[in-house]
Amino acid sequence: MSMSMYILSSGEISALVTELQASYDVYGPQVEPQTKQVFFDQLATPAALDLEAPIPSMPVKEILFPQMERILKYKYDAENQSVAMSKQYFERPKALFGLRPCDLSGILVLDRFFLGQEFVDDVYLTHRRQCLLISNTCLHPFPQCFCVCTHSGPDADEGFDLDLTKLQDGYLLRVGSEKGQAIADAHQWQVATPRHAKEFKAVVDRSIDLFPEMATDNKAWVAKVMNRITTGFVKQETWEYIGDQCFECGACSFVCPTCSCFNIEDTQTACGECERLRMRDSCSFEGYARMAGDHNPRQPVEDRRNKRFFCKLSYPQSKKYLRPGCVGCGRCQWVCPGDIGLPNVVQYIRREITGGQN
Amino acid sequence: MNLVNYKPCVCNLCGTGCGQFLKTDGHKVYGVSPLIAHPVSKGKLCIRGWHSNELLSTNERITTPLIRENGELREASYDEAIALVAARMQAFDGAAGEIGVLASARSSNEDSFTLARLTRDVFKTTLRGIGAEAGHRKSMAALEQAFGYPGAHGSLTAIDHADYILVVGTDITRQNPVIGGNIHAAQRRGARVVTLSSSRTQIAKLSTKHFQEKPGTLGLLVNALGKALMAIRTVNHDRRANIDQLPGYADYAAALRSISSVALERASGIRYEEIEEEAHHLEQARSIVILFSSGISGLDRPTIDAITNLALLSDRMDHPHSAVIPVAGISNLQGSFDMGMSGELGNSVFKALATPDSRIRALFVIDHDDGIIRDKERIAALDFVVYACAYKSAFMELADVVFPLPAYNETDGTYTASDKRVQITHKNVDSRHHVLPGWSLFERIANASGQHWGYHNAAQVFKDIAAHTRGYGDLSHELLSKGFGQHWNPQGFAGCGRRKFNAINIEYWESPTTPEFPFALMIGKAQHYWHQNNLMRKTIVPRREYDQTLWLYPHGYIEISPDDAVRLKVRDKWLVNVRSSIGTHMKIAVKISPDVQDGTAYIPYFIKNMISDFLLPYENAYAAGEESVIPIQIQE
Amino acid sequence: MSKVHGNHGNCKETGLCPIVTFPEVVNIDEIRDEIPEVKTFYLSFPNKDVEREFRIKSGQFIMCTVFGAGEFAVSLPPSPENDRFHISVRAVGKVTHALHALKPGDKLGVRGPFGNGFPFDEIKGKNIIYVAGGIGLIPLRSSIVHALQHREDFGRIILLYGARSSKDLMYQPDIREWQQNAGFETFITIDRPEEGWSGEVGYVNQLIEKANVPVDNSVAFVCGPPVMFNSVIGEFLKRGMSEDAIISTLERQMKCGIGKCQHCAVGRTLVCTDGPVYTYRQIKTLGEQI
Ligand SMILES: Cc1cc2nc3c(=O)[nH]c(=O)nc-3n(C[C@H](O)[C@H](O)[C@H](O)COP(=O)(O)OP(=O)(O)OC[C@H]3O[C@@H](n4cnc5c(N)ncnc54)[C@H](O)[C@@H]3O)c2cc1C
Ligand code: SF4
Ligand code: SF4
Ligand code: SF4
Ligand code: SF4
Ligand code: FES
Repeated sequence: MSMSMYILSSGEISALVTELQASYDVYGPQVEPQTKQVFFDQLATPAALDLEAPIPSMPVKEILFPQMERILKYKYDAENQSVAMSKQYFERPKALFGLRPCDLSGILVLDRFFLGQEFVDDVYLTHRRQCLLISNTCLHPFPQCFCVCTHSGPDADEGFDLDLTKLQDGYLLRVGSEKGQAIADAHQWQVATPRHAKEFKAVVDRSIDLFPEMATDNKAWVAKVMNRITTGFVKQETWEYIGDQCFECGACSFVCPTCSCFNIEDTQTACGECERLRMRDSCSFEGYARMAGDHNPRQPVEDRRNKRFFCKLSYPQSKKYLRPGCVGCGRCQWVCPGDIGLPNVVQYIRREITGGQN
Repeated sequence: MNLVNYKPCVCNLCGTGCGQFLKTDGHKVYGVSPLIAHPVSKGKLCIRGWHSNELLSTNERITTPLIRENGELREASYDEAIALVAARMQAFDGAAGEIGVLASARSSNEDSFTLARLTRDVFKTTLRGIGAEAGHRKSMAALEQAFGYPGAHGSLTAIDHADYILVVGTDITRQNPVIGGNIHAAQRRGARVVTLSSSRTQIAKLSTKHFQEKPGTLGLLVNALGKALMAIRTVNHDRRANIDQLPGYADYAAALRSISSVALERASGIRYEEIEEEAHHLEQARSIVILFSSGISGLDRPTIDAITNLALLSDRMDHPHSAVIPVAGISNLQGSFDMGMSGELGNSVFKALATPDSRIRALFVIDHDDGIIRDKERIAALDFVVYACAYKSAFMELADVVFPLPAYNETDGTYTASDKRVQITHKNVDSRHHVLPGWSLFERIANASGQHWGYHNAAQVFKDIAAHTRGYGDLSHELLSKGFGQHWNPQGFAGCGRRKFNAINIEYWESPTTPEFPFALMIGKAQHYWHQNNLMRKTIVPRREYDQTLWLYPHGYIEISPDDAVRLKVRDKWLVNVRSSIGTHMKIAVKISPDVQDGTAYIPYFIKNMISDFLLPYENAYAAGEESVIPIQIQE
Repeated sequence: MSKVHGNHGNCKETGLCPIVTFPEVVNIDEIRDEIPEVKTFYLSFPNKDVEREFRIKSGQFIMCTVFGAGEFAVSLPPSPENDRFHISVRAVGKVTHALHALKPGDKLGVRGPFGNGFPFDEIKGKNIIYVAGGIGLIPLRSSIVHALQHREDFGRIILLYGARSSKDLMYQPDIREWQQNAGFETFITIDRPEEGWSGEVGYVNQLIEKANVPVDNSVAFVCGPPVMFNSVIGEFLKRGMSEDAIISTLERQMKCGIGKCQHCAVGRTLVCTDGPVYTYRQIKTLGEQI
């Protein structure tokens, strides 16, 4: 499909949000006033949307794959030996307005994982089915971003319905799907000119230039490190060094836009009912891969960390995701008390490859 | 504009006081997010903090007042339960020692303050205590002697800037992981991190230098460091002359001089030359942070005295990036101490319960960890027991009246972290069952007993706290709501600024082990065993992690070194008989770990009641916390 | 979003219609004590449409909900053809103990069947050697019954079975019935001598010698505790059996059964979808413990 492009004023953006709120729950980046922390949360009003806010502190996957949700409720009547069950996850049209390209890529990875393998995950599908994805180009990187190394930014190139980029004249709106086109067709937006297309390219190039040298420099290394991890040539000492620094908090998995692991547990509610909860899980935990029986295949913590980096940076995993498992958002670096976020691990393995140089 | 779903608050699961957001619609809690701008936690949380949502949405809550009738607890109205408590308590003579009050180190300052008032003005008793205070009182006494006020010197944020960080004993990456993370980050930015610990803990592995001393010699090692530092001072005469003017210096210096390097090495296994080398690093540091654990697994008094003395001797304590911090495992241990709930020395509620002919007849208890109910038979035999807690617990079985309390996010409250940082958490979820906050419950009990305090909200209680509590004078809910809390002000204490060395004795600790009982058994150390276990048992993922160890070692475990395992001819997970020198006995699995020294053995805290039974007869095992050593024998 | 699986959507891979997300209610028709701590539960679907669609392969498993306690993975012992729907479960923990406390008439929830299952067509014409230790016979039962239902398709069919004591031998009436089949060879052993036991004593790997098992044109299905597994494999390899001809099942912690939660990850595969049936060659390359 050839891509239509339009130029929208800020007023038109607000109007679009208002309009979408009629038929969707609209989520977007906003700044928490007291702490200045950015969340991608439901918008109380269009005015709360802040398209210039830095990358949200929590990944947007929270909306499609929440930290904890109830998927089933049932009540067992022991006397009559009967059970009443009901599904607890429901479909709601959602517009995700102003996704950073890394978070968009994260959603694509989750799509391919939850929907594209042998089975379709019904819970994820239900949350995902009626989603409108509107991405937002990063005009400059935020601290710790390295999407340039993982092919996921600073601009989006696939998967969006609509995509925004702030230019001189307003927001460039690129259409990425039929659903997006239908929305565009319903408006009299000003069609963008080739000059705008050129400006868009320049804006993206400038943004790439603004990435710290470390990030751009790492680009080639990410590929080399993937190679090492895939072939299993990373030295045991390096994994031990990494494992010693893991505090087993699970944060890296909770904030990673592409981590999909979950746990399921049935719990009793006060009134004799039971809920089946589904909550995020992390391969950093000792109990995550406990086998029935008495030994744990991933007991030493360094092996568990090795599992994580295999998941994020290896070819077999990329085959599942059709891209690297890491989308370069840098969040794991923020939240890791042990200082072994993915960029650091790339550094460690890189140091191993170069024999300590760099 | 406030966000629809994310509300800032303070994690209440240990004495670090990390900033967190709860994802909530005002009715239920769905998730957690770290708070990046928080000065201490800086966007990090540990496994407990990350799973607070599981705790806060558990169904294992006490939802209504309960009264025991014909042996069973039945639901009751607040009016009925409060009237009953007021009437029954009036029948006891508090002044004569018939009433005891056991506070919780997890309660907010508002709750602890009003509980203290209830204890004093209504129950008229001095028999009180805090669930996990044992070691903290010692830390407070040592710090007050050294710095003139009972609280941490300096701030946890000093870790981020200090040149030198000394971790004494504590397994900090497990008990207070976010502080551990900050120390690790400091090490990576170039600070010198030194850990003194008899086993190779994670923080030991992450330190620049680990001194693995023999058990029982931590204090000696700290003093030896003092001796070496003093020796450097004598050479560099021109520097920092006034330390030797401080009270107690002469005795301290004399004691340090008496340390013999031969005896030191024999007792601790550490060569004095190594200590001397370390002292040079210490001397060069401009700012020094010293951390040790306080509370139930804390250190003994002589070791804490050695620490505060070393801090004063270093003469770096005026630097803004220096600190001496008793790290608490429980969120508001410091605050409940500040609010005056700690028992008087020699007259605490614990003592009364443990003394068979004491006059105690009634007990009022808040949120007690069920893993460590001491003197259970005595409590069961009391005339009247009241228990209040947010969560169901085994203690309910001992109670005649039970009250529900709100969870920490269901009411406004302030909490004082290990470094005296007072932080506020605002109510962000409606208590599902219209549960009264603690301060309100206590006020209503006071009302029913004929006293009227006139509190309408927690902020008002805090005004009283500020007016009556030293150090809290400048604080208010309004002020605390603005940033990320504020340290209470030591200037509130008359002695603030006065420095003084604690008296020390140099003792070359002789291991109590004998040929018959050759192993030195210590407690502590396990990945997922916390002081919050009664709470963490109500979560899902942390509980699974907790159970993980039990799955691998269903009978609990005792950690020994690989060489000792060879000597005993045992393999990992084999059951062994463990006998202590006073005759207690247990059967437990062996866990072989390269992190422990030969001749030592560890069992984790609270792993199973069976182990508590093994330990409890050792009166001082709990009292001495991390440094207690029990001679045992291990047989296949 | 191409392949949409509802509860009974079409599954391209297997041509069967597993119950994916929402458990289907089954009735416990009958409960039999099998061996100490193990009971067999005979089940049926009240919903007959589901019953008709619920078709299994040997070696597959289901996720079974014990209402109020939780869900667990359990092998399917019945043959794909003409057999009663049942499961055999050892009470080891929270959920399995709750299951053992149930009575006939109580309901369970079922999702599945999941997993790849044993190859059936590929092994036609070969000798089959089943080697089981203890409750390792549970996952093999389906295949044994199925093979006997098609006895003419195979060469020798041998069962080598070991348990701690005679009380711990699973499916004894079944075994007696199978022994009625011409050319079904059984060798059974217990760990220690016992009064009244006239059979073999010792470990299962010793039976391989006794049975004089053929290694050419043969496949071996091996299920049991890790110690047994390792010694048996060692014995087979020593005799020159190909690593591809040794087939086993792996057990891992399972939560979803459909390849999403990743609790069952072993090396680079997920046991619930890529397994639970693996050849020894595959197991070896997984790089983790059995
Ligand atoms: C593909 C597959 C097929 C399975 N088939 C069967 C089957 O046919 N019959 C059957 O009985 N089980 C089978 N299992 C094992 C079964 O799923 C577990 O026993 C069950 O999940 C335990 O759940 P629980 O809640 O009762 O135990 P938990 O409460 O989770 O565990 C409690 C305790 O039991 C121990 N434990 C758990 N499982 C086992 C075990 N299998 N052996 C020894 N100790 C254990 C744990 O280590 C722990 O100490 C199968 C598992 C898989 C993955
Ligand atoms: S691995 Fe880290 S940097 Fe990569 S996508 Fe996940 S959270 Fe972001
Ligand atoms: S295995 Fe680990 S890294 Fe991979 S998705 Fe799961 S939690 Fe994330
Ligand atoms: S965030 Fe860091 S410390 Fe926490 S589990 Fe991940 S790697 Fe380990
Ligand atoms: S370190 Fe303490 S305060 Fe911080 S998240 Fe963990 S339990 Fe909560
Ligand atoms: S059981 Fe969930 S992925 Fe295998």
